[in-house]
Amino acid sequence: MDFVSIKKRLLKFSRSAWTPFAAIPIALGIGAILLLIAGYDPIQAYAAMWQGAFKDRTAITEVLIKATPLIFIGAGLAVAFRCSIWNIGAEGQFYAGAVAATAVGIYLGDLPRFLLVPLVLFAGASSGALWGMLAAFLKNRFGANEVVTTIMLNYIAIFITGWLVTGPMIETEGLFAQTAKISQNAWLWRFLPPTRLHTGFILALVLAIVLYIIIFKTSLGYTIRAVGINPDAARYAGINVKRKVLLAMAISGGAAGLGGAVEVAAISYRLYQLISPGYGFDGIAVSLLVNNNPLGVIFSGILFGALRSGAEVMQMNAKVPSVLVFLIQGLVVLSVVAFGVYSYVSKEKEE
Amino acid sequence: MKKHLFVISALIIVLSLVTACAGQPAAEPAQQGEQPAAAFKAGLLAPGPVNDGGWNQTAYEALKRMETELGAEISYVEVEMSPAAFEKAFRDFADQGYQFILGHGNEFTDAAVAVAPDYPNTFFFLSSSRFYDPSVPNVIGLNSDSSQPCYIFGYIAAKMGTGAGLIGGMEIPPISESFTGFINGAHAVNPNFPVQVTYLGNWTDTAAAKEASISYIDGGANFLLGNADFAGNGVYQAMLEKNVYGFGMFGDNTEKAPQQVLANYILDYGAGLVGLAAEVKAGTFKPTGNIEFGLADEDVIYIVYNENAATPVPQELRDEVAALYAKINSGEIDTLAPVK
Repeated sequence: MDFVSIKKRLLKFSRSAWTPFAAIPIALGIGAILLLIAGYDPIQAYAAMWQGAFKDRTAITEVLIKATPLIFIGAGLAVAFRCSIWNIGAEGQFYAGAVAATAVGIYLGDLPRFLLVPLVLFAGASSGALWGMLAAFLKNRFGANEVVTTIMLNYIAIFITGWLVTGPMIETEGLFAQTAKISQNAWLWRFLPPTRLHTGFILALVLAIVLYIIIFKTSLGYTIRAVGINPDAARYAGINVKRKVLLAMAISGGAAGLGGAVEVAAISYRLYQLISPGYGFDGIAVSLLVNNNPLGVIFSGILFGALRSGAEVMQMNAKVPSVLVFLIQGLVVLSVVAFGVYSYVSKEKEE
Repeated sequence: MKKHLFVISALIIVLSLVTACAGQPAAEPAQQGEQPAAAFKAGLLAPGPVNDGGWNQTAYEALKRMETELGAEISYVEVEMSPAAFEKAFRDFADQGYQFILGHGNEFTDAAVAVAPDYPNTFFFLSSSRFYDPSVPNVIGLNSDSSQPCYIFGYIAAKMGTGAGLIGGMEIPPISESFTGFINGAHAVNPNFPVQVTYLGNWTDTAAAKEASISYIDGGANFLLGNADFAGNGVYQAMLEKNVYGFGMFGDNTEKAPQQVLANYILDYGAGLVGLAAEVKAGTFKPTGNIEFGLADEDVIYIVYNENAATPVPQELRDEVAALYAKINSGEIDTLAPVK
């Protein structure tokens, strides 16, 4: 490897690595001004936020717990985005996974643990993958824009979940819109008691690494990226574009579905109408933040987890109203996207 | 490229310096906050915006009353609606010595049960829940028994009317129990009094609620009761249009059908919460079970007659109702008895 390529690599790395760290303080800086205008002490607010996310071991593990679904979703989306498939439907795929995992966890609850846990995870991943492939099928067969179809499929998945938890799958006491608890044999191991850190987090890390290897180190990943860069050229080069689109959506949806299964099997133990507070949409920013690099998603996922985790304590202790907290979170996403555009433009210039 | 890098790096350095400096004095307010440990602290986990004009606002206003009436230090979180967030929010409150924490909805049950054993000096209350488990005695479910006021409504309907139609949102216990109370009350007057029940399957379809109401009226009913959240407005519309009688649920609904609503069932859940907080503050709260608000809690659940109705409830009937109150409170009348 010659010096120039090393330098290029370093440059490339630095570009993808430092963007988030630049985007965050800028967003927080603007947020501080807004807090001041609204009559709150930004120092106190951010101190509360920091404390909420990192004050002790429990708080840090809670950040990782919140990051887990974001890493699953973000890593999957990175693959789709690399293929230029704009999957906005990770939310729906997450729900699809959570529903399937819950169904298996309840109705096959008598199976022994070593069978049930993999089965629950497999059900979640495959159901999320199918939900994603639905959009890919519509694109391949009818040329339907995946942005539209995946958004629509979100609603369908969320409403099906709502119907299931108030109808056929409602807990036996029938009191509230939730399913029964899944069998204890389906629970993921919480390996750091008394914290809730669970093996699903490890699984998310493994998945991110595997997807990184697939995308950047295999010929399959190369063809997926080739389709993403120029589908016509890829087709001319003999790549089956439709098949790659289907595959990218299957991976993306499967990862989101797996995230849904893990959320049920490790945290909630049952299905609610609103099992996700919008992980599927945060996941988009998580992936874009690191230039759609599955490995980078680990860091941006943890960053978003920390923001989310700290935001609640900011409300609680600094008495900052939730609208302002959401606003600051929105600023972070906005500045991330702005930096994404910046690095994209500067890259084009360079080339 | 180099220039860009320089500008950005400069920005980062400046901003990180700012945030680094900002980080130091931050320790101060945190320490100050820990000193007055004796203060009574009350916290709320709200599942939605506290200015929603409904469910969450009720709890938030109760919290504000705790501040003014009990001198409590209050705080709330509009918690992210994921079960992953609930436990942490409970812990964040309890870690700071909050003695009264309200999870405003049954969905907080699992999280409260998981957290409570670590904080024996904190009470975790759950709205619309009947939870009580002696092994986690500091998690207390709070429920309001709507079957009791609805028993009174059924009694009045059977005395004054020819038949009643009940329109529910979904067939879940909080709704079906209120209807059981109504039917029991009606049957106490006349075991053959016709009462029909329908469930819409949602909380929003006002038109369907109105249609169901009108079909009951066409079938001979002249009393209506809706318990369907927003969709219940369709029931009031039918009352107004067809000029039949009915009752208001959970608050003063007189203006929706000024001449037709004979009485309103007022639920002042906030008063119940403030009462509990006062007991927790005084150290006199010693729970032996879940808490069920009923007519006996006069400031929480009560009935207000509409004096401006076309035919107000006559005085002799009001006297009978007053006698029913006593029987319900003593347990002589079981408003939730299975309907024959």
